Amino acid sequence: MPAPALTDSNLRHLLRRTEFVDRPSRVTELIGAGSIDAAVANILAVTANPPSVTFTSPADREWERGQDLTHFWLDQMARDSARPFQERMAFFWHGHFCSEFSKVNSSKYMAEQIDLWRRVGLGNIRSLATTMSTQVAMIRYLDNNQNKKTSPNQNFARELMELFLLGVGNYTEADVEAATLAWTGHSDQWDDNTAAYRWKADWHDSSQKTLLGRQINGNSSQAAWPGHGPETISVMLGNGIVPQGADNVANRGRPSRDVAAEFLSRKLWTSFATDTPPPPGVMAAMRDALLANDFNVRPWVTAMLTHPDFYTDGVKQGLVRTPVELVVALLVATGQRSRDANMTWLMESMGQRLLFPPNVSGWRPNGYWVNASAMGGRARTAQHMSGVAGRHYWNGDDGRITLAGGSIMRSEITARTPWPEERPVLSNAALVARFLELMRVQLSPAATAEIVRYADGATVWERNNALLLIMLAPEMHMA
Amino acid sequence: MLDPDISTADALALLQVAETDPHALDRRRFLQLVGLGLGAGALVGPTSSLLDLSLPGLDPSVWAAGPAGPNDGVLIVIGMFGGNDGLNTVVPITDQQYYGQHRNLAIRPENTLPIDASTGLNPELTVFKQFWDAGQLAIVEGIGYPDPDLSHFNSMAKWMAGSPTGIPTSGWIGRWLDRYIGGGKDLYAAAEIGQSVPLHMIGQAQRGTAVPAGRPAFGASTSASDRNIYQGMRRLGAGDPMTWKGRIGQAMIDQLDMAGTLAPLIPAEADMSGVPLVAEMEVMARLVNANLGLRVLSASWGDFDSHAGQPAQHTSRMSELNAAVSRFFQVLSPAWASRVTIMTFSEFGRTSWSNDGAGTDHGTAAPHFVLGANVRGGRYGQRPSLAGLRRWDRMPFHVDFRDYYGSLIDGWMGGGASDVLGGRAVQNLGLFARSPGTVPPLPPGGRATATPTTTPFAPTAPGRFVSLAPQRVCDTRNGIGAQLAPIGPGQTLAVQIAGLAGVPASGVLGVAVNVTSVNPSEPGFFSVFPSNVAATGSSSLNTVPGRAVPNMAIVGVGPDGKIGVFNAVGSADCIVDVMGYVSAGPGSGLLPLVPSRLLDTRTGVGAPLARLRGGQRLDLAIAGLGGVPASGVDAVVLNVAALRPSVSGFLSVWPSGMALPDVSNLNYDPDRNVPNLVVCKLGPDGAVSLLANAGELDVIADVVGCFTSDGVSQVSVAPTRLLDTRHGIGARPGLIGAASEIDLGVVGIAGVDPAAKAVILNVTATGAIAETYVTVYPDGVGRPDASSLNVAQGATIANLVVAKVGANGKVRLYNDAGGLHLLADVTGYFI
Repeated sequence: MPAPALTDSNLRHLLRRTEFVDRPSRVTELIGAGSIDAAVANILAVTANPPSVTFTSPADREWERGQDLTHFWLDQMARDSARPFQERMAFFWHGHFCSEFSKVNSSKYMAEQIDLWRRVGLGNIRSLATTMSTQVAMIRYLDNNQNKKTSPNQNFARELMELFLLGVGNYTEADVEAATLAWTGHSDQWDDNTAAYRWKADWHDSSQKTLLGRQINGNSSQAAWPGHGPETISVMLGNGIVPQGADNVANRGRPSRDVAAEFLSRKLWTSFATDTPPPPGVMAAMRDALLANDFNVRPWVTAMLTHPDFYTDGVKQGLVRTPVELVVALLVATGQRSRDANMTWLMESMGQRLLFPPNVSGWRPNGYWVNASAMGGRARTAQHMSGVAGRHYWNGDDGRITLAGGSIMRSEITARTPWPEERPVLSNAALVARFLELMRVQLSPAATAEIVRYADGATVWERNNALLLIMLAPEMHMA
Repeated sequence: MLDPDISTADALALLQVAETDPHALDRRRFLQLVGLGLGAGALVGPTSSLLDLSLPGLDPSVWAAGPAGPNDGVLIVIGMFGGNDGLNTVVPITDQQYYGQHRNLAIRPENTLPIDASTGLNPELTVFKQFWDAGQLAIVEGIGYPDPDLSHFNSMAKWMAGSPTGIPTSGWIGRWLDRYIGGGKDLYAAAEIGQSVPLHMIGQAQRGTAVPAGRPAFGASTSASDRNIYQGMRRLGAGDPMTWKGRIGQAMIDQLDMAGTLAPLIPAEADMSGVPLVAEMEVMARLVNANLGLRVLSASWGDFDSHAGQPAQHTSRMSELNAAVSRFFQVLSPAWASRVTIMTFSEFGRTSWSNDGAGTDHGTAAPHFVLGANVRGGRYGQRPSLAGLRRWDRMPFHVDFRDYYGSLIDGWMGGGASDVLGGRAVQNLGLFARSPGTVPPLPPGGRATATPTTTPFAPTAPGRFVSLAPQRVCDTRNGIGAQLAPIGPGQTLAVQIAGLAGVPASGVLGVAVNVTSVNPSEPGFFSVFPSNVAATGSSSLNTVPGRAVPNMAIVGVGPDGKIGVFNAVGSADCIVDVMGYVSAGPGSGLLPLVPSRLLDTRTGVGAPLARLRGGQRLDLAIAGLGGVPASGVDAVVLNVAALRPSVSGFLSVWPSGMALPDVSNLNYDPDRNVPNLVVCKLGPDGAVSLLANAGELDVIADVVGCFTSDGVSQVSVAPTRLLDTRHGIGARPGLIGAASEIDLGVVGIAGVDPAAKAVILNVTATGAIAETYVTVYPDGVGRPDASSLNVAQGATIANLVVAKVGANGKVRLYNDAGGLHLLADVTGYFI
């Protein structure tokens, strides 16, 4: 199958899906890259050491520090990262290996987890999962800090298999029980103020167990062994076999790493492409990339982004922007910093708050966002953002609307001659075109025409609402 | 704890209803109710707004569903996400296995609300207990399905799909909706209150709508400039509905339509409880009341997934559930009571064995509730045995959830269960005593029992007040007008009003009485109500051993001319004095006033600056003061308080110029300040007289209204709780602090007409952390120097308040010091 061509359409699609927005500067930079493969390599050339959040709120104010972290991360996505794909991939991991801020109850450890996705998100899935499992955020979120051999708590081990690595039905209850006991001991420190990770040897069950058909902790003369938990991940992504007793009949007897590779690939596809299952071609490419590269992320993502199946019309028109992605697009279009735009309080009404996945299975695509009440939230957000852009509009002679590409002065839009009449300077079509130019957004001719038509029917002061309508155009809500 | 939302293509046809449709009248009335703020849907294409249509004969409300017919049942579905611990919800109080396995999580029998010899409800579920006592709560035990799945994801999908096997692509209510709607799309036959539509509300062709749990913040404006923007959005939103871009556009248009219809119906977020489920169920009740045609309303919440820290987590969930159901019935118009049933569900129960994190793990079988006026109360299914269960074993199930759902579809939703549930031969559990809309007959003798309202007590016709010379009509201590014995626990004393003490034998709609509890054996409460209504979980006064506690009540009178006085616990004597009655014939109306202090012996207002002595009569001028007209006033409504009395005694208030009658209006004790509302006919000189029988004390009196020939008439409603800050009903949950106040919406709810000028509230204070007073006054005016309730530290005390309604349909309740909880029950209003 021929490789996808580096056309304007394909490149913009690729940039929207990987960098949130098809920034004109990036289009210009990459259109001459020679091939989609080269463009993808450029997009994936992320920094080794992205900066961490600097908390500006006081140490005992967890909620406000959570806001600090949210604003920081949104700014990284929208403007501060030279390679926003690093943040987009981290956002994927945040929605897959979920933890939620209020249960974690620590800005420090939530930031630690988010930084793991940002630093190692293009690294190796085994090491990502292992590190995440021994961080305080995940330990708290899935109650592994309650998991001890005398009273096991299955929450983490179950979700590790069901939602994180293998998918439901590809293991048995016996596997859940064995993995649960293997993960005993990884806890956090409650009784001093550090709340740091703590290995509790006396909680640990180091006996020999069977997981996915393999013996783990074979040398059970070892005393409490912190590596026993991570061993389960090695088995799942290594030499495990889906047992005959598993519910998923088709997968019985298959290597668990194959099942894991397929499960993870479907999830990646859903987040970046569309919500229908990946076609066999790209699915095989993704799966094989994971298996051949020992679950390294870079070849896996590359396999998806360079495959022709990623560039079909079905995929290009197949993904709705999540609220976070919409907010980032609006921040980019208005050139605002997240804290100045101050719109995080509106995100709940759209159905998504960064750092607060609704449950351990994360968010869902497309249909989850498209209903009347969530759309009401988007309308309010657009209204807020267009207000932010125009907040200096009435400042006398200096009135302006500020967008990414610069400001449009009030005097360019309307003039008071002869006084006191206010009459338009820019025509409606020119005004809409100028807004789009400064927002660095492209809309279809049909949508543009409707917005001009609105301006035609509006009073001279109301024409500026064309900015709001641009943000409300359904195309702005497509990924 | 998730919405496995699988989307389906929308069908876009709209319901059209012919002018001859018998439901059309309801729609026109609906139109009047909501004015012109209606959306158009796709009636004539995406670009026109209904507001622009001027074609005669076109019915704008065609876009809403057909109004629910009088015999169409409405189902309220409550989803408990995360897996509810059934054992701690319906507690098997005699099962030693439960105590052995649930260990530190188990609830002791004495801490439950016992409903039969082997069962107690979770202590938070007080309103469920009331429904049980009324025979209107069905508990279906042991619900589950074969081959249970312990994954939240999978098990919830099965429960929502209504099928234990197969790939879940549609939900059971969605498939019911497919059959119900037929060919047309209907935005409002089924609604989820929340952000997204869950699987159980999605059918193969139809789906429910997500309605936000608050007034829509966008799309409800009627200004020309905003309507132009909405017009632009509608144009932008037109697109191929088979594409995601088109669906986004359609959802934006739907949102505009919905905002326009709902904005007038739903209160602002600040006016509803801060507890999400409580606000959601308030919204549900308002939507039902608006008769938009909703047949199913669903809401869900969590987190029930208590792997650790279960006691606090589960208690919060149960408290929220109870508050939400309470709030629902407070807001629901009584006319709907026999047409609404509530059901619960969850993806599984929890393990019977607790873990060491004070939690439980995913379980299997669990009980669920079905409640409502037409439910046949009792226990159904079978309680799973815990015998022999080892650490990781789960309970067996006895009722397949398909039979649970099927019993609701066939018993309440018009039938078709087998089709909806994959052809299963559904076993109908028989959960209903009557079909929707059928009202139960009164029990023999018309005697009320201690249960929630079984018959919808319709508000009386407006009546005129006739004040009387105060007279005692009942005293159980000496057998006047009643048995010569205290009222026992859970008993109701029927007190004859019509035909006595100057009250005519007929044409009596209501009465103003002062009720006093004397020598109660336990702290508890009295509830006073019309004889043809059951106690509704409202209270009229709180009994205190060692004290006589009075309170006024202005309540409707039953067709037999009687009122009921219900005593909750222990035994207590009761005195009833009549101050006046509400007549179907001529009489006076209320002129409600902002409270104004007419008497204060501490400062020399209205009387000399001196403590009142026992036996010393005080004449208080009323006419012409505090907003009371100088003439033509029949009676006055005063809030009187006895402050710092030196001994116990009682205060009488009567028309001046008359001999002292044998009545008491206020009983006082040495260590506290006691208020009471007094309705007193004026003497010929426009004054009333007060006399304390013992000791010395300070007295204050605030005038809150008076009765004149052209004041407003009185209507009695079924007593209903509007406010309970302990549980987040009517206001956010929590103590009201010092110098703090809350606003309470009092009209358009519980049968109170939106145009009411004053409401009759019984206000109870409890849990006061310091001595304080409470002032109730209309919102929109400055707080007057008056008090409605005096509260001693730690006391529970009630007072009747006749509160003028403020400009926004609200009253304010102000607390001066410390902190306390407030409850308010409405018994009537003036219009």
